[in-house]
Amino acid sequence: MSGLVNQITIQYHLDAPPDKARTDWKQSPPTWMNRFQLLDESYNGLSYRADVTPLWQRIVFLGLGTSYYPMSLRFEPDGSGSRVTITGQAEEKVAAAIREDAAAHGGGVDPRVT
Amino acid sequence: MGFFKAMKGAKELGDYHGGMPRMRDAFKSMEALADDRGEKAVLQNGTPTKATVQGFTTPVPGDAFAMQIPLDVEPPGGGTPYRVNYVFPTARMKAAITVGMVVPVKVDPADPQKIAVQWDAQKAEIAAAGGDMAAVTAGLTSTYSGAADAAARGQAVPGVPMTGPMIGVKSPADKIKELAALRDSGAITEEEFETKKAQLLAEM
Repeated sequence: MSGLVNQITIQYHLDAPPDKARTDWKQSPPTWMNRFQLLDESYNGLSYRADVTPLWQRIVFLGLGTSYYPMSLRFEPDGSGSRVTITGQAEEKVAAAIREDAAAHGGGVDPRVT
Repeated sequence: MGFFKAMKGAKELGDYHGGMPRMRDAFKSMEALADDRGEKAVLQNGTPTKATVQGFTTPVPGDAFAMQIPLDVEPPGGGTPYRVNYVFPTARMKAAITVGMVVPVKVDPADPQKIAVQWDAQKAEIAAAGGDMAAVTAGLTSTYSGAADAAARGQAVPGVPMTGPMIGVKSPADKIKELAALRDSGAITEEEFETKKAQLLAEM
């Protein structure tokens, strides 16, 4: 069960076509995904989640109250390359790294408001 | 509002809705709620593909914890899409799903009728479409070619049959009744009534 805080949705261009971009991402994800684990793979996307449970929460809830941040990616054709849509939750420093990644690829947009 | 006042309010609200369930009933409900109905196995071992939603989500009669929706599933190896009435545990639903949407699914290799929607991937589908409202609107538009919107405006869309009751749209039968009332009141002549009636009957 995820909360509403730290949500991020961003879309940007990648040079590789969708299948290759997805395979490349799966094999060597960006460094900002260090805490994320691959959960599932769809025909056009990847789903991850990161365990973000603070230590005090583990102690108080005896290891039962785990908190996760989900992150889903979708790759679609965009010219000769692809467009990746990233949606989920990320801590502020991770969100900043995602935005930097998007900027390095020509800039990111939030498809819900553009 | 203080803590005890909030608790008292919550108890009053609970009592209004039938009070606290018996513990045995509560555990049965929790068990049914948490039952994934085999979806975890399909998601672990299934083959990814996509499906197009062919209708709306409806309750499953006699099952308070599941919903159903018709999907046309594209076989992972290619071929003609086949229909699956997808019954899913409502508690597992994480994203919107409605008519016209293309959704990521996994298919059980041993039983193509056993599928599971990949809800996390569906969240990305919806985000890429521009959010929940944009995704739902696009699905409806692709399915009905704007017929629902046109019907709400009292227009007809050529080649798209309008079925079922539409809010705010009068049927020809209703219009004939109104015309009869106008004729009876003397507002229109018998001849005008018959002419308009013939036109309306032709629309039925």
